[in-house]
Amino acid sequence: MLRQLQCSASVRFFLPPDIMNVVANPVCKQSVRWRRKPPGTPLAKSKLFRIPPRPQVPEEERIELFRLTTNYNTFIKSVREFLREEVQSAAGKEQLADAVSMDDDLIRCKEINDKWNAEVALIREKRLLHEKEEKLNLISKRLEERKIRERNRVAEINELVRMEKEKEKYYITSENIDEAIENALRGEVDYNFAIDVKGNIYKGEVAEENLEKKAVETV
Amino acid sequence: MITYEMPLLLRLMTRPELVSTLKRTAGIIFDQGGIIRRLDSLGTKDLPYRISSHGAVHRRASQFIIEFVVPPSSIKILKDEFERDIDVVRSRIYKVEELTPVECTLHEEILPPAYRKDVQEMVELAKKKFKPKFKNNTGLSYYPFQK
Repeated sequence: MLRQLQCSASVRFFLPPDIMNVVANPVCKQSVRWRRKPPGTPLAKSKLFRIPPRPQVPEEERIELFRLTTNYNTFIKSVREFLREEVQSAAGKEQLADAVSMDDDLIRCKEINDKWNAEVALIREKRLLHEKEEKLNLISKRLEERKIRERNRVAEINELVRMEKEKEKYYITSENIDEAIENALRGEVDYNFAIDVKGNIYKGEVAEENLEKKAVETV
Repeated sequence: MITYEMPLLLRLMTRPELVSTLKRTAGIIFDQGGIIRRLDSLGTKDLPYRISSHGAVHRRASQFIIEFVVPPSSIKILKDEFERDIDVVRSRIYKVEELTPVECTLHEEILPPAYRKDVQEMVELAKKKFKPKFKNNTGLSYYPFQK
């Protein structure tokens, strides 16, 4: 809130006309934000035990006021009652008419709804049949696949067993370990090899002279 | 049946000692219900680095490779046994993986880069990243004005 600086008429007479304008002269602005005590301030100590005096209304005035008030209330009550009766009678007629038309409407809506339901039921039956068929197909397909998988697995296992049985004669067990150790110590193995651009393989760890002659294998 | 492969380094010993150590090692595998598929000797060779085990430093060792089959639950026992054997310098156990057949593509790999398929793909990929360049449409290979 802002208000213009107040000054007497005589002072204002001597000042130029613009000087009291807040917009033209911001210097004249005064903030009047806190004119009263802030809302949180407690009751003053001096007013703590003060008992405010009861309003003194003369007897005649009281009787007159009571008469006026009662009169006013009676009038208002009668007007309100009249209006209520008016509204209720009008609404009752309308409601009756509405109820009849609503029943007709409901029957019509139900007919349309039943028709739609029948249409959708046909479509649904067809769809469910189709889905059932698909599901059965899928199940039978999966069963078939599973059978094939099982058969392949058994074949694989059989093949593994067969190969292992073939290898059985080369197993080193506690019976022929002496012989195997002798063989191993006699013939040392060297896994290292080199390969050239032509695809010749040169076995052995150390490079030797005349490699061309030493080529053992060709890729 | 899982096949395991064990490189085994034994300290320098006389031949009878070596034989008995190998026999002992094999016996431990047999005790676990296993069998040996292959027993190869790589000879006595210099080690690539010094290895100290059981209080001695080794620079040479007799090297063996043993391929065997045991139940997987026995691997821990085998490792423990070989670790405590004072004649074993070092031993490791690996699973033997079956080799999948590889197709030879050497003839493609030795082509010059421009003819290699993967390089061509990379070039295509790089081309996509280039921003569109402004065309002068002067019909000249150079910029005719002062820059």
